[in-house]
Amino acid sequence: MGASFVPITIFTVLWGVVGIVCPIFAPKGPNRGIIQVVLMLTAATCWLFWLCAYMAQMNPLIGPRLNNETLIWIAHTWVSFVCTCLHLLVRDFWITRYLNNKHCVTS
Amino acid sequence: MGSLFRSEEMTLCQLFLQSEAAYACVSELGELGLVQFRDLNPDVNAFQRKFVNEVRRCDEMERKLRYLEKEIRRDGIPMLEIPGECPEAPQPREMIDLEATFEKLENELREVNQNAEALKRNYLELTELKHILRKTQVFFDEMADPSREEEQVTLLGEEGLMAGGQALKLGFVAGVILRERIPAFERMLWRACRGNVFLRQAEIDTPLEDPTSSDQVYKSVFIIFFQGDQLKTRVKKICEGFRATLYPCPEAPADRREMAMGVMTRIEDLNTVLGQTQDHRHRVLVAAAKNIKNWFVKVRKIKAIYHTLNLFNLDVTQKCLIAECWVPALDMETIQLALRRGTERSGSSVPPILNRMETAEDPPTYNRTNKFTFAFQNLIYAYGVATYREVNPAPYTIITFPFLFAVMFGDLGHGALMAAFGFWMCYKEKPLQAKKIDSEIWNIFFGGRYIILLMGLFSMYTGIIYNDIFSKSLNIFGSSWRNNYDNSTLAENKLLQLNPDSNDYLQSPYPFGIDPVWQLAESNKIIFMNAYKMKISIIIGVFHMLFGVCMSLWNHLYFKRRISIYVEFIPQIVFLTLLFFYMVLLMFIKWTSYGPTPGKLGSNDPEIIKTSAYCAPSILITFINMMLFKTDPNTRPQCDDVMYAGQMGFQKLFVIVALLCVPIMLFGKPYYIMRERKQRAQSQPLANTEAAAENGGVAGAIQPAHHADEEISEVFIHQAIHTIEYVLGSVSHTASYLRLWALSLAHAQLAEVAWNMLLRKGLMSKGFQGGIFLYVVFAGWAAISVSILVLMEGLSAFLHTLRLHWVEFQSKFYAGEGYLFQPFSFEVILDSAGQAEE
Repeated sequence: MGASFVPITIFTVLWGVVGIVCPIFAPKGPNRGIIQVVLMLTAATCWLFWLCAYMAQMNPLIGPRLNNETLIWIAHTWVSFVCTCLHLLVRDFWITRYLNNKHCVTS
Repeated sequence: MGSLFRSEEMTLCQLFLQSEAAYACVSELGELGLVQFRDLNPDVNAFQRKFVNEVRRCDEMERKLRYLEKEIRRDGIPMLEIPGECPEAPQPREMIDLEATFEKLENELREVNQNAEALKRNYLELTELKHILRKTQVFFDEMADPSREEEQVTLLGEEGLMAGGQALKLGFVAGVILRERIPAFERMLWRACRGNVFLRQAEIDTPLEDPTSSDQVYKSVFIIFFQGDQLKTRVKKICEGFRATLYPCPEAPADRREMAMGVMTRIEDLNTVLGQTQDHRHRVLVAAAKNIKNWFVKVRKIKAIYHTLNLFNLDVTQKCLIAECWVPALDMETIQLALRRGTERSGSSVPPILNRMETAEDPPTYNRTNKFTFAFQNLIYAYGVATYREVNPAPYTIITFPFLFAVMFGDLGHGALMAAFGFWMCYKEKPLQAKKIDSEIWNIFFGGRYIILLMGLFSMYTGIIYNDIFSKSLNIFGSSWRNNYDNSTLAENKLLQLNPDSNDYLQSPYPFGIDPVWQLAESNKIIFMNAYKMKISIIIGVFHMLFGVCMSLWNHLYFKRRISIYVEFIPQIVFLTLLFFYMVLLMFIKWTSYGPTPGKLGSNDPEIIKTSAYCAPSILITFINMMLFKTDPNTRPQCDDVMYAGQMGFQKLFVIVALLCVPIMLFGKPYYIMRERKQRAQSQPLANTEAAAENGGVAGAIQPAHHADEEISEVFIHQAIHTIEYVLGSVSHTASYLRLWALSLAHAQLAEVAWNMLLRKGLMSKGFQGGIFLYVVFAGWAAISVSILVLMEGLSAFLHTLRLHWVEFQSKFYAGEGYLFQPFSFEVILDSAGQAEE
């Protein structure tokens, strides 16, 4: 439903690398076991925590109730940091147009 | 696998040491610190052991060293730290040399001190006399003054003048007394002599040194005039009572002057002598200060070795000593090597013998830790030392502990502060360790530096997910919520709610963490956050408990308790999964299947309404109804009663199976034990007769097995307690994980209050006065942030995390009935001796 493919893949792969790939290359020695456990548990807990936050917002049941001043301020100023950077870095017309349609520029 | 997952395998060993080599061997083992000796003569009292004399000599040496140390400290001479490595334990014959050195030093020092004290006393007396002479001079001058004649008249009264017409001669005594005693002294004199004496006193400005205690005391000079012998004796007695020192004071002014001169020259002489004595003392102490730490280490090592030797048994021939010790199985080789070194050093030809012994006793628990895992292992030991070879929760705690802490403490700003503090302590580890700071609180923080660092890092991560930095949010990826209200609506309404079932919501969530818009929604942020945080608390809690139950499987597998797997582990995990993990699944189902449908926003189609927010059920009510076998018809029209097809059937099945697990847990093990005993009883008569035929009646092998058997009623009671604890526990423990939500809510709210009440006020003030105001307010806000939000909230979150691990997690698998391996190690002994000193 409300899930989008890109973030889910990125974060799952990221934590998958930390929790599954990294332990394979843990340095040999008496502490290898500990390092592996630490990596796996870190990945598991962090991924679960991210997943819960993501899924809790996938299909919101309520919307935020905002002050009208806050709403006006949001409408005027909230262009995300990432989008701004993209705008500045890539002046490509198509990307700008794509972003215009998708996310960044509002009313 | 590393030893941290389970404690090390230990073996009981018997050690035969040749008498001459014993000392050197034990010394080598002490350097190694891997051997725990057992007391082989527990019934022999401490005074009757073999090496009492040596221990006593060491005690005597230590006393002398402490005396030296005290003197060195009194003079404020810095004691040199031991350069480089710790000195090895000296040979026994060196002990005599050491003893002689200490004896000489002590005697010398005592003599010097005695001399110095006598000289100081002398000096004090002379100084006091000097002051008396100087101060009384003023009184005498006053008296001699003809204009003050009437004073004498008033003193003596009418009668004095009438008695023969000649001026009566007044007697006097002069002395020195402690200043604080003056008022009482004066009162006493007045009362005892009925006002017939005349006291004059003057304070000595400079403090005088008391030679016995070397304290600085303030004193006063006094002079008392009186008449007649009776009063004189009385006055003298009072002076004695008040510990005033009286000095002879000549009456004639010329004599006094002469005496003063004499006193001055004597004081000067004394000063030079005193200076020389002090110099000598200083030289002796400086020489001692260079070596004292070294000597302390040596003496303590010798003492520890003899203490250990006292635990050994003497062979009948008196040629060798027998010891029993616990040794980590992996370190046998190292110990053999150390023993060989010891033998070589002592020049003995007979090698020591190390024998493995079979024993039914429980070996001690030994986990090899490093500086990183040490603190985590201590958190576990604080609850209880693991049973021998039991699964050790410490390696898992390394991550789960900071994680659960961070769920409660989630704030990027506070987490960063904490991580910075932890990182600083880890980075400056060596210099900080070398400083040896005594403060207890500092030592607690420093001991847990890696925990603090990890807690800080995890708090930063959860802070980003909660999108909470000092109660503000970061809009990194662009919020998923838009404003679609037009200007007139915005102008007319004070509060406006965005509707997720419209274009207000982009239909794909903020990719990393909570959407920044929620931090701004002051009126319904808490509603959203509570629903989210309560759910994750339960989800995390159930996973944590399932993990704990799985640990018990490891234990059963390792100890080969197959029956426990079938009647304990499987029913336990089934019970937990079917009830509580199912509840977690319901939460995920609710998250995925109720909400706006993209493409059909705001549609009135009944099919779409069924999956809309309007129809979302409460998980809690669903769960309660499931336990009560109740089906509540949905009160909202157009909505389904169930979340998925066949829900009711599944739920009933789950509850019934879960409840069936309870009797298995309760009766499974006792039943198995009973059956096993019956079988044994059937086969036993046969075995008994066979054994009797073989060795004449005594069946030695079977006897011990009987002792191990508990009463069957006890087995039942034990199992019942265990089962009740588990079943009721899984309910209460699940609820207990809600503390994750409660503390995290409290933390977020407190941070918000601190921001709104303080910093916001400062930021809103205008003009240059506003700048000054902001400066002041920022200080207040920063102080509250650090002291209350980081320190106090951190402490409370830490304690709650500790509880979640000790009670909710470890109760699933951890017995903690072992005892700690305490090896004979010089390092430990020297450390504890050093601490006791301070």
